[in-house]
Amino acid sequence: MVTKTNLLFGTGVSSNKDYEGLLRVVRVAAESGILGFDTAPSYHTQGVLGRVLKQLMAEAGIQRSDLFIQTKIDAWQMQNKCGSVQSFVEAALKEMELTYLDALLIHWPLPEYMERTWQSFVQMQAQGMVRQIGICNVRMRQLRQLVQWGMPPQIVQLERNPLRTCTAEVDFCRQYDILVQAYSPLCKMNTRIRDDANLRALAGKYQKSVGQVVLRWHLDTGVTPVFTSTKPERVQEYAAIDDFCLSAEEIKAITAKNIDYKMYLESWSCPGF
Amino acid sequence: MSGILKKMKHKKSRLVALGFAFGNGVLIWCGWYVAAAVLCIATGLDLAVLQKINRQKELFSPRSTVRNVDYLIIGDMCSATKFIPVGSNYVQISAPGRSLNASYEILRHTFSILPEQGGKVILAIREGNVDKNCYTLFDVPFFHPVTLERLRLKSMVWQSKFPLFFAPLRSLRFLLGTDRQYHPVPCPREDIRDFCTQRDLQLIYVQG
Repeated sequence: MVTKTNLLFGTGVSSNKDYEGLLRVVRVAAESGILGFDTAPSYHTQGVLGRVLKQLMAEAGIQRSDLFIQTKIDAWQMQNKCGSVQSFVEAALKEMELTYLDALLIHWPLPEYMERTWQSFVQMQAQGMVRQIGICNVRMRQLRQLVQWGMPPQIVQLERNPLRTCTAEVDFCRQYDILVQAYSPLCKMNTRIRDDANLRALAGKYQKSVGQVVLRWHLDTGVTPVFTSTKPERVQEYAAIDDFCLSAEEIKAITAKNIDYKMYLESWSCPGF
Repeated sequence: MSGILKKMKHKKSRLVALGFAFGNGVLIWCGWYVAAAVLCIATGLDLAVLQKINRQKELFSPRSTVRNVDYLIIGDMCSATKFIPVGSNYVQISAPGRSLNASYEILRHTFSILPEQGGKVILAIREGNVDKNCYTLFDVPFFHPVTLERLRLKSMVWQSKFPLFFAPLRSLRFLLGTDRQYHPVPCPREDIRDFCTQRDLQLIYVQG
């Protein structure tokens, strides 16, 4: 198993940026068994997350080895150093007061810097700065290319939810033993998910919320959801999904809702994607 | 007045609005009513151009629900309905004098609004702009910061906030939506053809 937890807590664009607010939700996440955290330079939460986790380790007796901390390299960083991004990772470690990262991901795979950046990642992994390396926002095209280079990722993070199931990518990753993480796992509770009759029926059946059912669907299809919230009660709610499983038919019914609907257009954040 | 300012969340927008109000106030105080009226009209037109560009840009933000459209039309001003079947949904990003180079860059930024398989792209370019290596302030709003850095276009970003003042004739043509006759021809750029093939995009190139 490549992560210690089944859920990752994200500190993305809609997360708390202030220390107290983030500490409050991260504390609840840890108490609920979520010890995996995701950040990125563009989220402006790297430093504050580092301080929050340091406080958490001190007050709750959690060891560094219990935590799973991952960050990313942004597109501008790939361009700025023409792919040789080690100095940015060193800066991130310093900012977060860490000696290593559990995972480092390419946030947006700019084609002109992909190969050089990936080589840089492999080097940092060999040096022990990073335990696992991965990439976000890829499609089959990029995955095949990475496998062709002989450097497949260990983690792939995609925008995935019942309206965009990325079945081909998930199956491909399963074949190559690549862990798949899903960001925006609930599609920001799009009305087509929130008001879906089937999902509501399942929520009623299991005495859970629609959000919990969808997160369970991610886990039951072998995908780790990365969710975020500013509300401690929401974090507790979403963490409480270990007491039920969906049946094969129920999983199939949710997966069938796929309409390839994505909120974040890859080409808009990654020109030439 | 304070209610309008409260609605303008960005500091820069507030400063510009206050500057405009001050400038207009000075003109009226000096008795230059015609100049004040011209300034009002010019500012209104400028905002109209900006609004049209921003409405196009907004389609690509996560807030937009426009996704998996049948056609993406990029290039010079043209009437989309001449190229696509009735009932098709499309997104059009057109601007006067847009070069093939600029259209390709915009394609690189926007094609994900098409379906994963079988998306159709129409590039509409005027003959004189096929070989031009130029970008205008109508192109820049669609470029990622990485692209602006690569193409050294950062200085054009602030010009793109005042299109009527830096490109008055083009801005008027942009608002009026002028049209030309286009006819399909093979795309003259192999790199664009390859780009589309690799991403399973059907390219329709029309020249006028």
